[in-house]
Amino acid sequence: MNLKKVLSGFLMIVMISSVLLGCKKDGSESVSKGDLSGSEITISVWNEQNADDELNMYLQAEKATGIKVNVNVIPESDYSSKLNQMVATKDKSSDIFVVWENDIKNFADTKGIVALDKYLKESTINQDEFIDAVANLTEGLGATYGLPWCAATEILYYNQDMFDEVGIPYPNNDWAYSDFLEAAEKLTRYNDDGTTEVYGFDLPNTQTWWAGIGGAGDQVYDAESGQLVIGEGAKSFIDDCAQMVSKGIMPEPSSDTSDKFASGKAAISWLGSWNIGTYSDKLDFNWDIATIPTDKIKYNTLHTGFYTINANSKNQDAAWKVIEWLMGEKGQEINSKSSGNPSALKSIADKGAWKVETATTIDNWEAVTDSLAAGVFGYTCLPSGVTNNAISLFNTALSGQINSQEAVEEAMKYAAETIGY
Amino acid sequence: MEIKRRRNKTLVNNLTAYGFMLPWFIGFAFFTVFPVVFMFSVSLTNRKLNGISQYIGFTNYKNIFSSSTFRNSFRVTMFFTIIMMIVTALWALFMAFLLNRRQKLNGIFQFCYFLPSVIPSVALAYAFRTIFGKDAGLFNALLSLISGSNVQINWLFDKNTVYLAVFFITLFTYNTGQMMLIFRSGLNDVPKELYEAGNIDGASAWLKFTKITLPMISPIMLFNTVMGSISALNGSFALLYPLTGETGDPNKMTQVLSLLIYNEAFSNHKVGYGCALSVILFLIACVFGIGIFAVSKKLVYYEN
Repeated sequence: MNLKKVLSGFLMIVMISSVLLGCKKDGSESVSKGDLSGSEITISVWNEQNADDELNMYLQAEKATGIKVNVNVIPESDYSSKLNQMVATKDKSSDIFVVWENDIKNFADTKGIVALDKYLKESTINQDEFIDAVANLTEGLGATYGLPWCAATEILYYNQDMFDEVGIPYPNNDWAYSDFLEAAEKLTRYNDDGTTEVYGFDLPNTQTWWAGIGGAGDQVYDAESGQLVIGEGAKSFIDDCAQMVSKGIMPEPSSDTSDKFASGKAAISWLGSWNIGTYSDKLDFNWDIATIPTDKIKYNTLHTGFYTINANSKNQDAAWKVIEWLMGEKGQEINSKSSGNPSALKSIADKGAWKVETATTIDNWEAVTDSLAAGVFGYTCLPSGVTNNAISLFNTALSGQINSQEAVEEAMKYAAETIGY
Repeated sequence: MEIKRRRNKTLVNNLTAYGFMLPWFIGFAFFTVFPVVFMFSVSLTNRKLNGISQYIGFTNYKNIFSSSTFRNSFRVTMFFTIIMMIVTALWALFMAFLLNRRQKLNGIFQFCYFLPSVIPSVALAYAFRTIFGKDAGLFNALLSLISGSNVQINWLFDKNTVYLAVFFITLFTYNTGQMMLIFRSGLNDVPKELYEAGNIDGASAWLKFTKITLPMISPIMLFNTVMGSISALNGSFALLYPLTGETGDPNKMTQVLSLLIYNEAFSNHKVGYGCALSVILFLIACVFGIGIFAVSKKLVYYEN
C-alpha cells in the first residue's frame, strides 16, 4: 500500500514537472541581438550533409560563427509540402528554410519569410554578382527574400568506353540533336532474341524531360501567367522518344529503379549536374560530360534553393549570421566541393571549386558552365503535382496507350485546372 | 422521501457512468467529430497549404464534378475497392480453410501465412516494386529461368498486367492476414454435428460448403467485407503510392481517390479542394458500409 502511495506521488511529481517544463519559455528567446555566439539556430534542408566534417558546410558554419547549427533534414519528396505546412502554422522550430523556386514567391506573399534587405545593406554579399537567372526569378517580389545556395543544371553524361567501342567521336558542347539521335542508335546493342542489351540513351527523368521539350522549342514555363506552356516541342520530343522506345534504343518506362547509365546498361544519360559528385570515381568505366544537345534552342533548367529566414523565428539575427557565412567565399567553396554544384555568385563559381576532384575522367568541365549560361528557371517554378502529372502522361505516350497530342493536351488541361487555384 | 433518495441514487449512478465514459467522448469529439467537421468546413474554402484561405461555398464540389481527373479516379476507386474486397476475402477464406484442416505444424503454417501481413504496407509495396521490375525484376528473372527465354513483362506499367500485379500484392497485406485469422476463428465455431449430419445425408463437399459453412460464417463474412471495403477505400494509398506513384501510373489506371487527395493537397497545395475530395471519399465509405449492411439482411444468417 505504502509502495503504491510512493509510486503515485512520484508519478504525480514527474507529471507536474513535465507540464511545467513544457510551459517553460523557449530558451532561444533569451538570446539578445548583440550576443550571437552561443546562440542556436535550426536550418531545414532536404539533403543529408557530407560525412566528411571538412565538407560539412553547416558544421563549418557553426565553427566559424560560434552559433550552434542544427540541421533538420526533410525527405525531398515531402520537402515543399512540409515547408508550406510550417509556414501555414507559423512554426518556430526552423529559423532558416532553404526554399525551392516554386515556393519563394508564395512564402514572401504570405509573409512567412522576412525581407533580407536590412541585412544585405550592411553585408559584403554583392547581389549584382548573382547569375542573371536568379535576379530574374526574384524580380517582382518587392524585396530580396532569399539568397541562392548554389546553381545546378542538367547535362549529358556519356560512357567513353562505349563510344570507343563503336568508334564514334565523343559528344561536345556543340553537339546537335540529330548527332545525338544518330549516336544513340549506333550505341544500342541487342541480344540474339532482339531485346536490348545496352540502350543508346536512358529514359529522361522528371528533370530532363523538360530539357528535351524546352530544347525542341517550347517555353515550358511562363513567368507572367505562372502557367505551363508546351505544344509542338513537347509533341516532337515525345514522338522521338516513342520511336527510340519502339526500336529498343531507349528503355520504356517501368518500375525499375536502377540507374542504367551507372550500371553500364545505357551509353548516354541526361541528368542533373549534381550526379558528378555522386558518380565521382565510383563508376567502372571512363565517362565524361557535355551539354544537352541543341535541338531548336540550347535549353536546360536551372536548379537552386534559397536561404530564407522564417518570419516566426526568434533567432533572425543569428540566422542571418549563418546565412552570410554560407553565402561567403568559404561557405560557397565548401558547398561546391561537397555537392559539385557551382556557386550562384559568378566570381566564386569562376574559381572552380565545384570541379569534383575525384571525377578524374572528366575533361569537359565547360559543359557545366555552358549549361549554366543557357539555363533558365522553368518547370521548377510549377507545382510538382502539375509536372508529375505531365511526366506520367508523357511516359504513358511512350508505352503507346495515348499519343503525343493527347498527352500534351491532357497535361495542359490539368495544369490550367490546377494553377491559379 | 424514499422516492427522492432513489432518484438521487439513480442520478449519481448515471453521472458516474457518464463520468467513466467521458474520456472516450472527449477522444471521440476531438479526434473523430472535430476532424470531420473541420474537413467539411475547409472544403468550402480555397485554402492552400501555406494557410491562405477564402470562403468559396461549393465551388470545390462543382469543380470536382466537372473534372475528368476526378471522374476517372472515382471509377478506379470503385473498381479497385470492389475487386480488392472480393479477391482478399476469397483468398483469406481459402487460407483459413487450409489452416483449419487438422494437420501437423499448423501453427508454423499459420505463422508463415500471416508473416507478410505484419510487414508495413509501404515496405511491402517497395519490395514488390522491385520484384515486378521489367529489366531487373525478380519475377521476370524467375519466369525467364523457367521458360528459358528472356521474359520482360512490364508488370506495373502495362495496362494489361498492372491490375493483375496490384491485386496479387494485396494478398499479402495486413488486411488479408487479419481477415484470414477472423475467418479461421469463425470456421472453428461451425458445429461439427452439422457436417456429420451432412455426411449421413451424403452431401458433397461443395454442398456442405454452400449450405453449412457459408451460412454459419456469414456474420463473419459480413464483418470482413465491411472492414475490407473500408480498408480498400482508405488504406490503398500506402500500397499504391510506392507502387505506381501519386499519378497512378499507367495512364491514371491506379489513381484511387486517396492518391488524388494527396496529389491535390500536398503536391498542388490545394488543401480546400483536397478536403472536398476527402468529404466525397467519406461519403463513399458510408454508402459502402450502409449498402453492405442492407444487402446483408437477406444474406447473413444469425443463429439467434
